[in-house]
Formats: sequence, structure tokens, C-alpha cells
Amino acid sequence: MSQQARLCREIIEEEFGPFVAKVAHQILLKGRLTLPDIVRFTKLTPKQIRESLVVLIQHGLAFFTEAVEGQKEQTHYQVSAEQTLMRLRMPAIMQVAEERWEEIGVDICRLLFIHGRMKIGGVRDWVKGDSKRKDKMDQYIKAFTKMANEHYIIAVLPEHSRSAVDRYLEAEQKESEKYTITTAKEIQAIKKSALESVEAEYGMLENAGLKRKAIDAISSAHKRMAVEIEDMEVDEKIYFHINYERFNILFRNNSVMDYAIERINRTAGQIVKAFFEHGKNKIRSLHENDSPSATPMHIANIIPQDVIDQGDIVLQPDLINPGKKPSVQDIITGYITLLKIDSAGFVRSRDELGSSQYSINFLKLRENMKRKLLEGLVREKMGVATCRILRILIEKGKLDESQVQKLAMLPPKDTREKLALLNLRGFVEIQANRLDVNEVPRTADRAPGRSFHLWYVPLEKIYEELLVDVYRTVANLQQRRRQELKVRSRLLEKLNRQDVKENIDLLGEGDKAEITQMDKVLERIEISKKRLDQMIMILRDF
Amino acid sequence: MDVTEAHLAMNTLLKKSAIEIMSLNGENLLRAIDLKDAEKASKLDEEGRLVFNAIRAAGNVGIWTKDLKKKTNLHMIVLNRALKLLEQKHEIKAVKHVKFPTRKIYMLFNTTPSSEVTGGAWYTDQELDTDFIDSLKAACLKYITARSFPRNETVRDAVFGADHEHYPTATEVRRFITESRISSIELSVKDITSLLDVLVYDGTIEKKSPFAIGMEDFSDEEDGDENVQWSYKAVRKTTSRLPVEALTEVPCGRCQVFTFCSENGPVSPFNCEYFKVWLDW
Repeated sequence: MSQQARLCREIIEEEFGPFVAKVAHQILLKGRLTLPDIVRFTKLTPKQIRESLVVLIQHGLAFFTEAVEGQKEQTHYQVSAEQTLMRLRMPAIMQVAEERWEEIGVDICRLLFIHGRMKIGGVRDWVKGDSKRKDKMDQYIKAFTKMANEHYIIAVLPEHSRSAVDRYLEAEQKESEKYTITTAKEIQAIKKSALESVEAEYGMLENAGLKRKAIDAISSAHKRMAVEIEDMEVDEKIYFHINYERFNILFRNNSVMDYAIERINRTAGQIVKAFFEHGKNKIRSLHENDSPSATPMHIANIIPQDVIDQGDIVLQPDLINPGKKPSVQDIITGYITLLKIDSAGFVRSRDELGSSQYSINFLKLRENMKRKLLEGLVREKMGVATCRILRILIEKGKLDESQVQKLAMLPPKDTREKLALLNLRGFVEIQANRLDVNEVPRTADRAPGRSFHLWYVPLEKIYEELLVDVYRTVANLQQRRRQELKVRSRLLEKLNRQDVKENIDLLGEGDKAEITQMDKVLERIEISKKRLDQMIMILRDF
Repeated sequence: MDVTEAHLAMNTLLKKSAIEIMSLNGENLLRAIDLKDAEKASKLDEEGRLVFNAIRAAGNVGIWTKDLKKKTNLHMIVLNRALKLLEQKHEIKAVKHVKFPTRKIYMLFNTTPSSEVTGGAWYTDQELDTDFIDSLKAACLKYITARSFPRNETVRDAVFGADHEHYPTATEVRRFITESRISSIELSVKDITSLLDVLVYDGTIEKKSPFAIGMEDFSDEEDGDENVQWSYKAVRKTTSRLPVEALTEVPCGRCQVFTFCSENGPVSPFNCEYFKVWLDW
């Protein structure tokens, strides 16, 4: 069974229940399905299926095609595995929301997770209904607007409900109408322009849902100040939902910063952070290869002075005046150069944009972080020496066994064992070469069929297999969690009783011990899920 | 002496094995053989002499039986007989080659095997001396770490600027090792370089190009690659913030039946024994 589909099913089952999970699972396994198909595969009633589909669409997990006028086309439904897997990041997202907008942010995020999408009016109603928070109404509205301005939540438009495939097909249709006769080359051109127009359309949806505040001409001076503080206000009629991509960008930036701290030092991490602060508003998509560029002057303006005064970088003393302390400019430039020549490739210079323009190089960083992950994994599972062999093969390409032995400085028996182990686990592969193809025969023996073998590392394949393994592990954890909760269902029932909720001491000692045990078990599972999700982020999303 | 006489003399000496012919650079040259060896050779029969000369020509590298067979064009049985005779007389000896332990390498009795055969500095008794290598590696790493970061009491993670040029090179490390007398045997720069390369592959140090950033490397001015001195810098050893152990923390990461486990099978997440132990801990 596809591990990804299994994991999505588990996630949906935890949040929405078994019926929705069953429907989603069938659609994930089989692709696009129509309603009668779903009935056939899940054996549920059409009413149940319709309700499940509504839930899935509300939360942005399912797409449908609209019936076109005049054509008798059935509605096909499709479930997005990506959106479902993003829900694994719920805890991390809520943590970020707490850091930025405190409890109010957490509440808004939780509302959006529970309801899928909401209008700002919905938030208003919820706050009104809740006695503890009634007086903080304007804080809630303000937080919501701020989140919308910074694109952490974005508007839902009708286009979003149609899957990318459908949009692409329609765009292709539109383009092909322009040509009467199509040759193979033109078909390719059509496909390419259709893809681009779909992506452009998607990109333009950012600022939707927001409109400028109406300015009253009379007290215009006062209003002008207000307009400067808050750009736009939220349109009442639009639904909003969480913009996972923006949060992912934040996670990615934090990861890069942590990596810089680890490789160089804390101040280097601050410099990387400054780069991100500078380019904050211009980063749109996770797939860009470079951050917006900055000069040392920009960075110097953002970093607080005491960080620079720490004096933790030792530069060449000034030739003219040896006793002089290095200036701010020098220190910043020194760090940027360090980041540039570091083998992880944090920063690179963008000379085509002007002199001394630098930007963070995501392309190289992605590769490096994935490699680090892989090497750490091999080191943990199979030992330092095996990791050494893996690194040698990655760097040098394809090698013979004796060459590996010489470079790794291990006894020949050991190298052979470890190479076999790596092969078993799928980390290296063999390429058999025929001897007679080679110019210089290895031995004078001319027997045909005698050949020598080279070992190599198929990196891309390994990353994909690793991702599937991680999906499988998370699904295992999720299923175990379900099992543990099922086993303790009696305890949970007790906990959910009204009188116990008010006074927890109604339970006996044994029950309390069981509760602590259950909490421990759940906590352990959730923490592991979170760490594995970070791994998924590096492997798949960055 | 005119040519015909010279030829005659050469032929008689050759028959007595007092000289031998070599061809170098397309020309034929004569070389005088040590009288003692010549005596030994003359006592032997035809084949023995052939074998003996071939082995002597191999010098201190030695020659393999198959190669010997090819060179002398003798039959295996005849060859083996000759070799046994020579060994009994203690004229030659069999040596084990470290790279091809199943081969028999023959060389003259009083020659010391070259380092290639014994493996060089890292081999002791035909075996790779891993403990020795490990202790040397640790010593090198300590030295390099000490020189890779500036000494600063106030700031814990001070770092050198990009243009700091005094990271240790292989020669400096070698000097350190010889001065501290950790190793009893002589280590060449090449040995140290290969040891440092192993450390680079372990990910504990990094190689740095000796040339300044942005400069073209003037390698055509250097003669050969002995003058390209790489410098080495230690990588800071901190606990990684990337989730490297995420997969191995969970029992699934180390489970032997990971691929076998499925939700409907005999081994499933629901009844996994490893989970039970892990959750109770």
C-alpha cells in the first residue's frame, strides 16, 4: 500500500473520523473518482460520502471539477496528499503563532484548523460567544488583519477548489484554441505556456481579500497616519485559511539560521537572520533559489550593536594602523566572506546586481542539509567507518573496492563487509564493467566474462526511499497512538465526564497514575512525530 | 678492441652469467653481475639460473609465481622444482604481499621487502594496525582543533576571519607528530596526508585551498604537486540542530522487520514489542 496514502488516511482519521478517512483513502489510492465510483469502492451510502466530501473540501483537502455548461461531465473529486500532510505541522505552526501574536494568534490558528476556513465575521462571532474573551474583540480583529497582511493567512478563492490538474487542462484548452493546426512543437509550446499561466494565476492571488481602508477626507491628517500603520483591512465577505507556504518559509529560514550557528558561530546566525529580515517582504515561494540580495550596509543597519562588539571574529589587522579595532563594516564583511567560503555555501555574491551584493544560496543549502541528514542517519545506524565509506563514494563518484580500501584506511575484509551492508540497505549500488571494453586489461587473463565492479551512491534514489521510510514510520506512530488511546478508552470516558472535568480529584490514585502514564506515552509519540516532520520538511519541502 | 672480439667476450661472459643484458630506452646495455651471484648461478642448472635471474631482476619488489612462469616460459612443474631447490639453498625466499595475501612473492634472500609489499607505515605484521591509526588520528585532530579557533576567554565560539592563513598544513602536522614522538616509526608527508584525508572523509576536519579567495591558482609555476600545500581546519563539534537522529530515536528506525511490519500482518504497529519497551521507558 502506498505509504503516503496510508499516512494521509491516519491523519484524516484522527481529526475527522473513520468515514471521512475511508473516503479520502480510496480517492488517494485511485486518483480522481466520481461519486458513483466512491460509492462502489467504499460501500458507504451516498449521503455519508457527500458529507465526507463536504468536510474535505471545507478544509481544502479535496478538489472537484465544476460541471461545464453544455457538456455532460460528471464531477470528479481529487484529494491532495500535500495539504493533508501539512496538517502534521499543526503543533509547530501554533507554536510560531504563539511567539508572534501570543494567545490571540493561537486561538485564531486553532479556529482555522477546526473550521477549515472562516470569514472575519466568524471570528467575531466566536469571540462574542466566549465569555472569557469578549472584551478583547478589537485585539482579535487587529491580529487577524495583521496575519492577513503578512500573508500568514490568505483568501480562499473559487480557483482553489479546482485541482491544479484541472486548471492546467483548461488553460491548455484555451491556448490550443488559438492555433488551428498544431504540430508537435506547437503542442509543447502550448503545454509550457499553459503551465506558466496557471502558476502566474496562482501567484496573483496573494493580496486578494484585502482592500484599502476608506479615507475620510475631513480628518485626513489623522487618517494618513493610520493608513501608514495598517496598510489594508480585511474584506468582510472573503473566507480565509492558513497559508502553509508562508509558515514553511519561516521554518526553512529558522533551519538555515540554526545550521549557520552550528557550522560557524552564533553571530553568523545573527547575520543570516538579518539577511532574512531584510528580504522579508520579497520572499514569495519556497522554491526560489536565492534570497533577495543585500549589501553589508543593509545588514549593518539591522544588527544590534552589542552583537558586533563581541569581537568573536579575528580578522587581519589593518596594515596601516595595527592597533585599530576593526570597524563595523569590516566585521560584517568578514562574516559575509566566512559564510561565502564555507563549504555549506550559505551566501554567494551576486555581482550582476551591483557591487558587493550578496544573497543566501538556497540551492546549495538544500543539497547540503539533505546530505547532512543522510550522513547522520548512516552514522547512527551503521557506524563511523561505514559513514566514511559512504562519504568517499559520494565525493569521488564510482570506485573500485581496492581504491575504497586505500582511501578509507580500513582492513580489506572490513571494507568488503561494510560495502555489502550498505548494498543490503540500499545505500550503494554496483556497476559491473566488462574488462574487454577497457583499454588496459587489468590482468593478462583474457577470459571473457571476467569483469570488475565499481561501487557508487545513487543519491536521488536514496532521498526518495528515505522519505517513504519516514512516512511509514510516522504512520506507524500514528497507528500506535490510536491503539494506545483505544486501550485506555475506559479511562478517557471517565475523564470526559462533566463532574470529573470540574474536579479532577474525584479519581483515585490508580487512575491518576494511569493518566500520567498515558500522558507520557502520548507525549513521546507526539515529540517523535514532530521531529520526523522536521526531517520530512528538509527532504521534501525546502 | 674491435667489434668481433668484443662480441665474443660478451657471449662467453653471458654464458657464465657474469654479465646480463638489459634494454633501456630502446638500446641494449650490459650490466656486470656481482661475482658471488654469478658463482651461485653457474652452479645451478639451466632452469634454475633462468629463474634465479628473473627473481633477482625483480629487486626488492619481488615477483609472483604466475609472472615468473610467463617470463621464463617454463612449465609449472619444472618451475616449482627449481623454486624448491633454490629455497632449500636459501637463495630466495617467499614473502607475503599485503595487498594480495594469497599470492606467493619471491625475492632474493637478503633483500628487504619494499614498503609496497609490507604496506608501509600503517601495516604491522601484514595487518592494518587500526589502533595505531586511531591514536594518530586523535592526536592530529587535537592539534588541528587547537589551531583552528582563536583563544578567547570571553566569547565561547570565536572564529577566525576568512583570510586567516595560519591553519596547519600537512608538513606542520607531521612536525608536531614527530616532535611529540607518538609514533615509533618514521612517517612521511604522504602518510600524514592520507591520514588527514581520512579525517576529512569522517567529516571532522575540512581541507582548505592554500590560495587566496578569488585568485587563480598558479599551478603551472609549481613543479609537480608536491608544492601544493593544503591546509586543514577543524569543524566545530556541536550537537546538530538538524533532526539527524529523528529516525533512529524511534524503534522503527532500528527495527529489523521494518519492511515486514504492516497493519494487517503478524507484526504490526499495534502489537509491536519494541514500541512497548520504548513507551514504558
